[in-house]
Amino acid sequence: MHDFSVNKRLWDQTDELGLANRRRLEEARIYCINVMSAPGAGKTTLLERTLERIAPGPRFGVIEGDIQGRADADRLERFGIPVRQINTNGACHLDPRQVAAALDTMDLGSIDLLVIENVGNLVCPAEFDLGEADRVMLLSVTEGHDKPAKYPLMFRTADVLILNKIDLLPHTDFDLAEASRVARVLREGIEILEVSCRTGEGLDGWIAWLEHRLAHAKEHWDGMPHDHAPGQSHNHDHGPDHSHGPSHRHDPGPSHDASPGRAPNHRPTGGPASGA
Amino acid sequence: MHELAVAANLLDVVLKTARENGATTVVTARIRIGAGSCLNPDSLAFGFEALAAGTPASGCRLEIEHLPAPVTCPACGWEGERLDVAELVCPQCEGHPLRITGGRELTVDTITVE
Repeated sequence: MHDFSVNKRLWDQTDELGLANRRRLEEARIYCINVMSAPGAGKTTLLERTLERIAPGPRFGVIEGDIQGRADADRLERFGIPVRQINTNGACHLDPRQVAAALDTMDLGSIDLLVIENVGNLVCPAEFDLGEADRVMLLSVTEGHDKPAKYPLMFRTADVLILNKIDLLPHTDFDLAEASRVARVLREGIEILEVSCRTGEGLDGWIAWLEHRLAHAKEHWDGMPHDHAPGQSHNHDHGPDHSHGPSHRHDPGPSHDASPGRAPNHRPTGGPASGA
Repeated sequence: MHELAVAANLLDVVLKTARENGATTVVTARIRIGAGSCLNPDSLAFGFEALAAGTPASGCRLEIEHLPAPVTCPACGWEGERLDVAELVCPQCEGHPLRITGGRELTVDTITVE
């Protein structure tokens, strides 16, 4: 019998993959958000409303994560944007390897804003850095205001919290102030937006946030001086052993081959604002 | 449920180390898990055992050392450590949920081989 020393940190491998995705997206000048929530909180509906309402300009791409099926991808493809479906076949989250494989199949030169819709789950997706610039977290009021306290990691790593389905507030005991209070304890300065994708209330604020962050990313790529919005700190609070950096924290790591794989043209046929 | 993915990474590391050292059987693997890692040790051990079947790590025992996570109270500034992060009431002011400031370690330390 012999003992061998291993001393290997297991997060390193997945973190490196997330970092490689981030570099690749930055080099292709793509602003990427990772949208996370429990199942049914309204991630796909939020994307539909966003695509319907956002001013023409940014060219969207979507990576859809689901355990099975392509129902959500079908809903978004009607906007004429490139959509890639990842089926995790049982796994409860997307991992950076799957995202890298999806990126391989996309024409990165024809995308400005990539939305990764994670698998509906309030626990595991927070563990995996996919390479996104910002994490968008949805909590619908029907889920209850105790969720930030009960599922802290998701909220600790979010850059913006969207409280969805506020049209249903009169029918629930959801305490907006308490949910916001705990979310801010978990993630100082987090942006909190109250939205109803059904009535459209608050959607303008969300779209303004998204446009602001996209413009901010562009300024960063162009090396222009820029302000950081309140709460948009440079460092996420992931702890020392498992950090993921927002897009504007450059890693001076080794150069790598991240050619944006210019596949034959599958440019969006309709504008992102061409929906219903 | 993501413990299965972590278990797969863990098994990769264990088998690679065994292979590099010419070992045919891995008897024990010692790992450390931080309390802030959101990993369920039972699920991890179960996944590891299932995946290791038929490999040189088949039947390998997983010895898990639990590391406490540093916590701090955003209201009163109290600092401490917690092995159980499900209970996060500040013992000093009871005002706020404690903030977990680390404890996300997940390390393979040593393996014992035959």
